[in-house]
Amino acid sequence: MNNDNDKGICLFAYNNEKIDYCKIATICGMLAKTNLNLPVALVSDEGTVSWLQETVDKKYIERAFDYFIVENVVHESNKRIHHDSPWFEFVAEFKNSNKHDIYNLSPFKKTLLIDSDYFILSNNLEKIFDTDFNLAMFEQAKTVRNDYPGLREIWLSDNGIKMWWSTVIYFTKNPLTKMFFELWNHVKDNYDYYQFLYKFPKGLYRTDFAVSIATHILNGRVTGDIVNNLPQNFMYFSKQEDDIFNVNDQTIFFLANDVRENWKDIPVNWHDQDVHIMNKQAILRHYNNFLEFYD
Amino acid sequence: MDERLQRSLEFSNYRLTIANQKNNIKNQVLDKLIVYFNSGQFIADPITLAYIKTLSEFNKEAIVLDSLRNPIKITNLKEFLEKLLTVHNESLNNYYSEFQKINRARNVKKLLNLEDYE
Repeated sequence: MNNDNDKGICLFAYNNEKIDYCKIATICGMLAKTNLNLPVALVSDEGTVSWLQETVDKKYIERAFDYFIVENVVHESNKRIHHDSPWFEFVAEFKNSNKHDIYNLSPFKKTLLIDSDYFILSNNLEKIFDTDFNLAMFEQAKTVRNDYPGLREIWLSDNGIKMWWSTVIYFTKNPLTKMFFELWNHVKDNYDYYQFLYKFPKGLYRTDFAVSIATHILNGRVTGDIVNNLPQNFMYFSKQEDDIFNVNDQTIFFLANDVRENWKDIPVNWHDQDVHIMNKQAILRHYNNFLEFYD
Repeated sequence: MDERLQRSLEFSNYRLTIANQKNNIKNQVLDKLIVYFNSGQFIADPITLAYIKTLSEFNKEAIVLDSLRNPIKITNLKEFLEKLLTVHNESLNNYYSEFQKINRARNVKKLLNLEDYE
């Protein structure tokens, strides 16, 4: 691996028995390379990489990824309820226990770490590489139908700290960011204690909560500026209850669900703006449509 | 259902879709207006443009507050003004053309650019 790379994108993809993350990561990688023109590294395990080579056409793999970083990790059980529209749900393992290792795994000096279901459809994030920020994430989010997220995705508890989204993390390698990722690891290792201290909901290990706590501690346990906002006012996301009904080039057509009245959807034409698509099965249903753009 | 109510509800849903598309485009433009220069973060809005234009008429460089209220030394005001203007014009041209498309659409299919979709 060439360690002289100045800047690039990293993705994690660990398949589970229900969700084919390597297919999602392939679309994600191709969109990221097309719109940001940066090399992409995939962090995965042997099983997922061999499944990728078996099931995804070589030409798409070559277009999506420049580096493979094979990291076999024994993930602790972290079961999550996934929704595919409001009408269907399933339980699957959420393998996110080594996300903090990105500091050591990334081959780049300046890294943009994105979740594999964060689809880059604009060049907005290009601007982050013009800054001298050490660390940047999204603090605010909005859905594709312009709703704000639930209260626990804004604040960790009623009297608690603000939540930062770990969906997209930009960092430059230096002692400060090394400390941040090590602290994140410490929070993960002592998750029950920090759950008690910060009073966030029990259960699923959420990297959003871990990065928010690490940020709060490094800020001197007050609101501070150790982490900057990424160059967008919001992280836009489509909820697990939303569906995709069409994909055309780089335009995604969502059926955005009304959280208060689940039988109501509105159609949304989404383009030129990055989006975090939480309904993984909806992405997979349109896998071939996404690839068509690259044929 | 009463036909008058049905027609009104259909129109209401159409307006809801339009309002959402307009909000999404507005968000898109506000994001495009973010500019980084000399390690500061700025918004290429009319106030910043007018302020930098005024400063550039009297100085080559200046200290200005960025959008995070940090003092930033702008070493080349003319270059900064050009960058702000470029970003501002590109973003607003794009906003205008998207906005026109929405205003011209008379149904949801046209609004979403889905005329070929079955």
